[in-house]
Amino acid sequence: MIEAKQVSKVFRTGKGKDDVRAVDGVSFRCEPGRVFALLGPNGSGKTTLLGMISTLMSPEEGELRVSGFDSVRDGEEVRRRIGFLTGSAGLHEKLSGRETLEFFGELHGISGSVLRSKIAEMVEEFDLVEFIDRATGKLSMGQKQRIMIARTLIHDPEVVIFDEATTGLDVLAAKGLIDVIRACRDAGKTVLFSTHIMGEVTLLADDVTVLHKGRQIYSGTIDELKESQSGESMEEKFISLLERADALREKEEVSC
Amino acid sequence: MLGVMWATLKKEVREVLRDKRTLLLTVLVPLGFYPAMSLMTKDLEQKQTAKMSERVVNVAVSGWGDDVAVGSFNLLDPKVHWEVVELKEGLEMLDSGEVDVFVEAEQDVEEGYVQRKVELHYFSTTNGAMAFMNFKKHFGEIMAKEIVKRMKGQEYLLKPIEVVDEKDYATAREISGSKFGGMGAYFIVFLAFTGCMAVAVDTAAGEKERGTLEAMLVTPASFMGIAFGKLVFIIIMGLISVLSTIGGIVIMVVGAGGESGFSIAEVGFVSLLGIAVLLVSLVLFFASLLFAFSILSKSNKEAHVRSSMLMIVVAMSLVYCIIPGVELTKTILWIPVLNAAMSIKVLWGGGMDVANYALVLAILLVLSTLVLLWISRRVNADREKVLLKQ
Repeated sequence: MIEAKQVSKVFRTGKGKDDVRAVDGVSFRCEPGRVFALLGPNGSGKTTLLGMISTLMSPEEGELRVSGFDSVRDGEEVRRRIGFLTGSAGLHEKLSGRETLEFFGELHGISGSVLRSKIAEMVEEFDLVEFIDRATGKLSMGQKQRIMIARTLIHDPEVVIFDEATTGLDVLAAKGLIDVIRACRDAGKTVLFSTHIMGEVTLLADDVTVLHKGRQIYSGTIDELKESQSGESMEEKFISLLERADALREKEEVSC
Repeated sequence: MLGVMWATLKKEVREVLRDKRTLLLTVLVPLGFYPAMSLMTKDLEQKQTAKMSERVVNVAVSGWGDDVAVGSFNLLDPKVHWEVVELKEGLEMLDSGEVDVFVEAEQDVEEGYVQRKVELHYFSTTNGAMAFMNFKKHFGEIMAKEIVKRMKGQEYLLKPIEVVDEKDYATAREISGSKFGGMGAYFIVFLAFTGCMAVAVDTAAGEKERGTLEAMLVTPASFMGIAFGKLVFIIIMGLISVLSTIGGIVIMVVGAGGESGFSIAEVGFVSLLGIAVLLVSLVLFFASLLFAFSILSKSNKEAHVRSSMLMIVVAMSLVYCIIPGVELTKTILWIPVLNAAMSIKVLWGGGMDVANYALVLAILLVLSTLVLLWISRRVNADREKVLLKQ
């Protein structure tokens, strides 16, 4: 489970420029066995929020808990329980897929026969057998993605986070990832994924939070989102949501 | 933490074993440097000597006034051909390349034995300089012959002191130290630096750029464990580079078949141990500094620029080592890197003062510790800014 309470993050720019409030008072709750979508245009604060959940960054204000552990005080315990896959992450290209899984398994404290059987599980589950012993630098984009998914799940995390993980993937590879997200949900894991692609949200999400310019402008189930917003398609509903948020912000600024 | 360190170290070794460029820079270049340098200089020297001995230097002379005497100069050295010409003709011949040197002798000469004044015309460019050197040697012989002719039984005045024997009390070790200590120290230290640099740049900045560091940071492994694994790896690569350089020196010595004057056996176990400990400390210092540069850089390119600037500073300061006659002074004792290089030179050629040695070692260890503490503080103070690429 992931719980966020009034979480904010400010980036100090210095040099006389205004500070950037990348995330501003965001609260939500991701339940096990459900898929939680974090939706928002580019620069809305999704990656920053996920960075805080995965303990790469610390929140300025508020509280973030993963499986009951505080993301600041109990960083190590949080990291033990999460699997984090981001579209911008790379692979050690000189290592083979097997060596990559071995290395990350060891970083998670798994070793020996337990690690070997975990790797065998991953090879079977994600159909890596053909290329598991090849240098990852020589693999196709889709094959690399499968190795990265296996790397994320090697320690069987309770919480799985995907940050725009389908970016740059072809249709088949993206579908493969969507299947993985569903499988994680069916296995009772807490799944949080961020995207700006409405199709993925419609396909996968049980709950949705929409971020815009660092603020949370919507939070609820996917069905509630469909019903509450005007517009025929999900894209139109999303755009109308953003426009309303912009109008509201303008009003606020005028009244200040 | 040890488990994380070991896992990180294993990963780094696996990666580097598949990276041909890094292996070339850290192992093969240092290993082949000395033998290649020795072969090249030997080959060039031989070619140059052969060229010089085959070359006939053509000399034109005007105004000497004694054509028979000039003609007899040809008997002294068949490789220098003298020819009597007129002034204008001599200059034209020099200009067209028919002669290498034109000697314009003073026209009005007094009677009897007087000093002959000459002006020498030549081109220092192309082969003129080399030909001129040959000519001067030959001309010296002519002058010596002339002097002896004029001495009339007082030739001993030419040699007021005669050395009947020479005794050199320098030991083989001291000779080896003075011949190779400076150059050896220069290249061992410099190649230790490049060995560390070849891997340090990529271990942090490269991983940051490719997004692999981020993937490692979201595991429960401590950053200190990962960082120390990487640091140990950089140190190992630096030491491999040092060993390769020493291996290269040994290959050069074996290739020279005892003619090199290099004598490692004369250095002695204690001094060799002293040099080894110094090199380990030096590599630790380089590794800490380069790792700090790498971790503070946002990209591979930035880390390369920073490390290259440091490399220039190291290379320039090390030049001091190869200047003949320089000593390990009190000031140099306090200059990191140069103090270690000079200590290696001193240890090679003879014994070193224990207090000075301890000071050099302490300076390197303290500085390495300070660099590591500084980087650890920087990471703790602003982990996000230092470790994340965005």
